[in-house]
Amino acid sequence: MQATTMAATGSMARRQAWTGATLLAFLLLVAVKAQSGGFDSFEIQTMVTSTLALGYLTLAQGVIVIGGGIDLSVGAQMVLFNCLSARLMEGRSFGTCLLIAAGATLAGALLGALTGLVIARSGVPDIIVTLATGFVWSGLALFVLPTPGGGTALEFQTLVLGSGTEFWPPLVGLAVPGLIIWYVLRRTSAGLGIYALGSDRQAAFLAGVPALRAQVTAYAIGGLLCALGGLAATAFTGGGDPRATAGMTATLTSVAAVVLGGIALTGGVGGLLGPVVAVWSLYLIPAIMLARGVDPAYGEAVKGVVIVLVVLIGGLLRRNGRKT
Amino acid sequence: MKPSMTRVGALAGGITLLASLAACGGGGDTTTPGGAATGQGQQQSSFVIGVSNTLVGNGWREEMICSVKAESLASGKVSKVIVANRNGGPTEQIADLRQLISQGVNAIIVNPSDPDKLNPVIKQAKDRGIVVVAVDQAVSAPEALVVANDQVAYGRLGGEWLAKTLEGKGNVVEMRGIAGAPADNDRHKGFTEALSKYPDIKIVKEVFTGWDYSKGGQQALDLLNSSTAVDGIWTSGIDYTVVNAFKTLGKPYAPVVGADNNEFINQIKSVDGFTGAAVTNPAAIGGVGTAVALDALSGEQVPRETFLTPEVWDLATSKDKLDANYFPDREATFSARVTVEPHTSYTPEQLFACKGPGE
Repeated sequence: MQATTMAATGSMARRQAWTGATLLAFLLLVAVKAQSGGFDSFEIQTMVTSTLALGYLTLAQGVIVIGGGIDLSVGAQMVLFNCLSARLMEGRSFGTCLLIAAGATLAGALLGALTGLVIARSGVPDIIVTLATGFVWSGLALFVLPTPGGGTALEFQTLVLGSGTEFWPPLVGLAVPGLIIWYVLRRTSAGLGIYALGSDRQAAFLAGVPALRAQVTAYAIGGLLCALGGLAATAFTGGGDPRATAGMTATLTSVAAVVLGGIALTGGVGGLLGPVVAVWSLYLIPAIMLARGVDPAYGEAVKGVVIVLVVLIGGLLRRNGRKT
Repeated sequence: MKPSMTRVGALAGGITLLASLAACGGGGDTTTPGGAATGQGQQQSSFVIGVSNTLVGNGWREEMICSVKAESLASGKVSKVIVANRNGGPTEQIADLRQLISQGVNAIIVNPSDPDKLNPVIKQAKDRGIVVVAVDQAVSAPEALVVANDQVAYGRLGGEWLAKTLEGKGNVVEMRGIAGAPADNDRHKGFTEALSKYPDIKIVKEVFTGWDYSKGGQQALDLLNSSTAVDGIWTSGIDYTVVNAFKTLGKPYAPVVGADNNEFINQIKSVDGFTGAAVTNPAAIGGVGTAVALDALSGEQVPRETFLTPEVWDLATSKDKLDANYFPDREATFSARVTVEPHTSYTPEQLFACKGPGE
């Protein structure tokens, strides 16, 4: 009993240390950016607005990975809700746009819940089911909006992105859902069930954790966040873009950010602050390279190297942790 | 205790690595960018030019970026060129443009990925005194200057040359680009407009090459092998592989209209019994955009739109141009009209070097 408590404390401390390290790395990147190209409110706004959709997707991926799953369709869901909302919002008033946004968020949660239900009931691995649904959502997006287009109300864009060089609106827009979900994960039985399920499926089952409920909840939260990501994309570009490649890149980046942010791909471990900070860090690397006159095409390569290194270090830490 | 020390050590190591990676990314270039972008009134040789391109690995686009660098260097008015170059759509391009703005650039040369979605960020740039020039394709933002090749004229001039060469009668084939692309629509419009004046010329076949050289060559082989009599071919720039198709089959050459691709120019100059015309679609448009931006920064009045009328080069009327714009050591698809007078001031060597000021 004592041993398990100790192990739990150890994993807790490790997680805190990891989040702290992520934050520190982010602050270092900010310092470098400030030195080489400035980091004024306009730049902060650029960072927060251009990564807003990705931030939502990373939160979605984070919740699902904590629950022991993985969702390869988060990007496709974002593209679908981007196209859907851009098509419906075109030429509408601000009020109607808000209604459409609310409807889209609800629909996202439902789609997610359905995905979770299929995975839980069929027993087919998450990676297969979400790979397939990803193709379905990409196809639907093209059906809704065959070519880039659509639109939205200017007030909706301002609400999401802020006016002038304000960066608080997108930050609050990311923090509020993040805090609510953090509360659900940490303080409700459904949320704790997600952690339990991800940590050890068998043990959770034996302990009487309702696995179906936990899995459906995780995917429903994920779907809701993906819909928010789609709405953020609509606000950012003022329209919809059905390119499936954009969704694929976003999916992969969300997995990378989740890993960098200290969520174990094996499930059950990690928080939500780390991954969001990791998304910003991944944005800053190419931005710094651009500011220093290096072709940002190399930025992608450097990002990849950073991910490999961090995962390697993470693996070392875990191995050392087990030895204790 | 010991293992946890290792952990802290590993973490610290990781952070240092991250930081040094970010820091050494700079490659030693420590010149500060132009600071506050006030646009006019700066001393010479201090302008910073930003470039935004969202199609990477395309030869024409790379040449376009090189022409921006070459013109910046040749003008003597630019201290630095910052290139934001990656594959993407409007989402990526908006972020890139915003980053260029916060780098303190004085002008931005952008090949837009969307005619409308960049408008808010273009307005933000303008509000900070930055000159924005959309090259190759237009944007609807009234704050931006537009510098583009006139694609309707591209189709019309080539069509007229073909009709005149065929003396007003015969069967022609139209080999288009990508269905739905704005440039393809414009060229098609100009081409059909030109041929409508020649009732005895029939368009017997219309195909889309997808602007793919090998695909276009294959389509030409299939066409020439079919029973359709072909007296002339108009192409939307997929040209030298079409000429090769005649050679492969050993059929007598029909007149072909193409673009200013290096190898096609070589064929016009040197293939016996072949008549062709190159209609220019210069990638040097980036250099023209840079010249226009520098004019605007120097306080000159520049028109909102600059459209380049293509030139038609054939052996009979413009041998000098063909000779001057063929570069044996460049690749076959190199856009051979390397300078656009009177706008650009760089030499072909400066373009080939692809180096901006301070590089």
